[in-house]
Amino acid sequence: MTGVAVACGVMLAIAGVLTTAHVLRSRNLADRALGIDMLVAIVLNGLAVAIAVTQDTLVAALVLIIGLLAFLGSVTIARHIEERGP
Amino acid sequence: MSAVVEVIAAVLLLTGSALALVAAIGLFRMPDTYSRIHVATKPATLAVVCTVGGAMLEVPGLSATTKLLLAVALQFWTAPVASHMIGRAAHAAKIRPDEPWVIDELAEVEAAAEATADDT
Amino acid sequence: MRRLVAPVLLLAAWLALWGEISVVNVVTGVAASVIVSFFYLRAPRGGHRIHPIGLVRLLAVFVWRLVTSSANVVRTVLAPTPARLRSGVIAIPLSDPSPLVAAIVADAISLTPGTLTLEVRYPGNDDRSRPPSLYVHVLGLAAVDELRDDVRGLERLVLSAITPDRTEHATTTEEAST
Repeated sequence: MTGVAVACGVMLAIAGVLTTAHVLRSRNLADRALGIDMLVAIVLNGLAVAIAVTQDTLVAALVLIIGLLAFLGSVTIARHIEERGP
Repeated sequence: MSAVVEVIAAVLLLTGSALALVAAIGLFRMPDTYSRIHVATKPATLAVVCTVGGAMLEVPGLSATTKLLLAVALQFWTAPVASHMIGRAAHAAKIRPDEPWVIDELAEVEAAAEATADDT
Repeated sequence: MRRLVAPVLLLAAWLALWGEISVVNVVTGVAASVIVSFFYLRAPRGGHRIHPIGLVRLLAVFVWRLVTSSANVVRTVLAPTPARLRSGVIAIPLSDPSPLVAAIVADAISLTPGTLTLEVRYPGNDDRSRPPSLYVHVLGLAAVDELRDDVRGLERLVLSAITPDRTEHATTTEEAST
């Protein structure tokens, strides 16, 4: 299982770096909102891998809460873009 | 913990992480905002479903499993809505791709709506 | 019976959050779900009849579409060709005026490979008694008519799971007035 953990960690780390680079280089707010939604999804993935590998279920509630708050944030940014432009 | 379940969980974790990586690569290879929405949200949702599913198989006990199950259901239910809202906001904010669309049937409807709004 | 759906679902979610079914959890869950349902959730206007078997089939279709859409995205990202990146916005008129059905179809479209709902517009001046049109952004635009047929099939699937009983309302008011 440690091999799986290392592989997943590497993949998620590369994905995180790429997404952060995209957030930094994007020209409008919608692109950035998309990148931030992706970043949160990567964080959720990382948390789930950590739960599976360390068998520590303390953070299971965190997965739920972060997912909920990320959705709320995405919808809020989207409404903001709709009303006030990118 | 039987070996088969461990293998399935490992495969799920690897698949989820690979999908997240593909989504991040896609953010760079797509030319405009709307195609990036396609590429970033759909694999990311499936990735979360896969990895959390793998975690559900791995952890002992019911308490964490039900919470993770709720998280999966939540992600599955809200991700398409979030992607639609970002797409809708981008369109309303007049973000358009550099290469114009092949077919654009929304522009005509919007032009007609604006014409009637200007008349009143 | 229909008014019990929301409290039961909330109770199930409460028990899942606490993780164990004990007397304390069930009692507090019932109290919490009853308070939330009856004081904070308004009854939606216009009833819909829910068919459980249709609902399960709809859920299976959703999951299958999510999997195929991710496979499609993997292909598009790792081997992008101009044909796969052609995009456009097409209009798809639905056949039922119910906003709940339109919302679920729009959701399913956003999970389907290559399509994303951008807008839902009712015809004329926001005329809610006529069916709306979905404006869908398509990546990898190939056959527009096939897409429209696919969406109509989706709409039939959704209608088989959740049917708005608009016509039944009309008949009952007719019978009451005669």
